[in-house]
Amino acid sequence: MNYILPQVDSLVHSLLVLRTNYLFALVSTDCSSDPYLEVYCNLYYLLAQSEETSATDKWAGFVITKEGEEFMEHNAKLFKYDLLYNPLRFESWQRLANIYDEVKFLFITFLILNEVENWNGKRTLFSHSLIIHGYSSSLFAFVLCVQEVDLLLNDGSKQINVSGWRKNATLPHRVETSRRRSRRCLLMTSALAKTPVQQVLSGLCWFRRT
Amino acid sequence: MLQRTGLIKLRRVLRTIRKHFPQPTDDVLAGNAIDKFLDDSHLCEDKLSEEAGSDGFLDSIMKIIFPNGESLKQPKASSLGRCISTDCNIYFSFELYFTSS
Repeated sequence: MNYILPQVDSLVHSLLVLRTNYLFALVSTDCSSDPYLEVYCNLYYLLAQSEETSATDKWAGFVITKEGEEFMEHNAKLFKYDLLYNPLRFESWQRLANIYDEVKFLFITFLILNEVENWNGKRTLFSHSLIIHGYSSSLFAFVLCVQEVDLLLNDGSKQINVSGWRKNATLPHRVETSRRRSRRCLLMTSALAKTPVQQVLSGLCWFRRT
Repeated sequence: MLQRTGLIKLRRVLRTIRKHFPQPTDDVLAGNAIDKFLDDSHLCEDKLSEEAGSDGFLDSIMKIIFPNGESLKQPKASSLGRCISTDCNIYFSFELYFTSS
């Protein structure tokens, strides 16, 4: 279990703010707008922060399944709802990009499985193949790719083979949709990044993406 | 362990509240600007990528997402329909959480 617990203190503080929003809505006499607007503005982001939104800690091959797809869409919705009210929230765009980025694993699985088929499955060649396929030639990206390759060797390749992938029209479509959405979220993060940390995060994600 | 227990309690109260606010109001969801931006087949990403980092990039991208310049929809009061029992449920969820913590 790699899931990192969010800072509960900070979430409790946000919950207090939400309660204040709610109490104000209860006593509001303003009939011209939604008294619960502030509740909506804060609720979905708080929900998303408190829930486990990463699929990487689920069982092997989870994201490939229908259940995995629904899990990811459910989590993505929370951030999208938040962005309807807070379109300038860097964190929501970034977390949304991460959710869609996880489908990238499927794509890399495909590359790996191709190499398994072509090269008879020598582990040392897998990482090499990612570089050949233009992922990146830098040492840093290489390390990231090797980690992902290890994950996928353990998980993804047990769930689907090359012919299975080719016959399934849904998976490549999911990958392409997720890649497009992830790219656009990252474009937004690069537009919103203000602090050095945000700029690094945005640049790093973009670097990994392209 | 305390962190995890606290998180579970927090999730419980938030899930209860969400039952009453399952999604944004219809006015806000109508023409969902975020989905449109993510899936718009006419959007030229290459052009946007070239602009990334330049002054005014944020304005450009916001104009694409919200072409009418309306970034936060204000739902009409008439579209709301909370009832007293709903309000009581949410209120007690909050109180239960904070009095038992």
